[in-house]
Amino acid sequence: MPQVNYAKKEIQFKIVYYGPGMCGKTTNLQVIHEKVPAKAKGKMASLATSQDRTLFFDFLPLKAEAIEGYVCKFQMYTVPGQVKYNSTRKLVLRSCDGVVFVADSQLSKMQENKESLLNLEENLQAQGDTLAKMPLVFQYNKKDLPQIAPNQYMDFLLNNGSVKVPIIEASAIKGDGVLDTLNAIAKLVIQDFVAKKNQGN
Amino acid sequence: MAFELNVADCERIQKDLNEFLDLSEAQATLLCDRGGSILFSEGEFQEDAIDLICALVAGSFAATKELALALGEDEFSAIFHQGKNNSIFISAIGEEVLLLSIFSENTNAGLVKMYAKTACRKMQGLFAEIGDRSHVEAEDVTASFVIKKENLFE
Repeated sequence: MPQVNYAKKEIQFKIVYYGPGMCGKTTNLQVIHEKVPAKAKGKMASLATSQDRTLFFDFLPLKAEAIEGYVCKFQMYTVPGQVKYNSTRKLVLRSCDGVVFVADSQLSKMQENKESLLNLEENLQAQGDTLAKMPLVFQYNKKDLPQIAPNQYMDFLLNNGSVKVPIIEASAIKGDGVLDTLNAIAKLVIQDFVAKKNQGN
Repeated sequence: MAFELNVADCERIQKDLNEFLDLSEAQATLLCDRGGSILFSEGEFQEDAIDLICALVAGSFAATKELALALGEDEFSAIFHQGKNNSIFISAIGEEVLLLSIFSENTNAGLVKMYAKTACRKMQGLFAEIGDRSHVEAEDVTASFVIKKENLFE
């Protein structure tokens, strides 16, 4: 559940971009930072290596009036995709309210996508959450590249639970599908929160 | 853990933080959770940087915890970063909350550390109480949350 401050009329959601190394998580946040107007965003930070690979996380705070009478803040994080940084991914996932799983659409990356999704599921379970209950969006990224897998095949491999997760096709590097993904996950976390609160949870 | 703070909670926290600032002579202080979300701040902060500060405080504390584990400690319960003009002191309030104190070269670091410890002890009970509450009513108990707009970012 997000942090709620009734005195300040403020709700804070934490959204994490997850996925294998080099799938475009940081690019997503960079594009959001470029496209969103100044009044709706704060300072962005990237804790990266000298080779621009994410070492700890990228962070971008956003703000919007999504719920009547409240300011909604969205704290956007990415995790490092490289397999060796699992402890860091666990730390970043802490208290998250929604996840965007960025999958690399190149045929050669399907195994890495599957392993990363499995890793997400394990890390969520370790903190008492489940993938099935977590607001989740799949972004099938890199659709501009040759030799990509069709969506049906990616769904068969990744989106194969009893409830189908919304998917967004994207080419984050060109800016395509990035804001659609952001709006999709923002909508899900808000709906999840409103449903729980209005049920009295 | 997600905290829901009502008006009375905020007043109690504000009182404790102001008392801490007065006694320690620190310039500013804030509380955030270990997930990096801000809970409360007192003193001057740049509005567009405050969320980033919380994310980095939580990240820094988490990284230090891993370092502690690697060295055979459960956790370093406080960390201190010394700057040329300003320094920061981060201390844990229980398992979920962090207190950040920012103070200048004119403030005695020992004073900040001592009063931060007292403030943390004091607020630990309050946050345990807030965390144990199963439900928090908004001021207007008939109020419900209504979604205003769905496509938020264009």
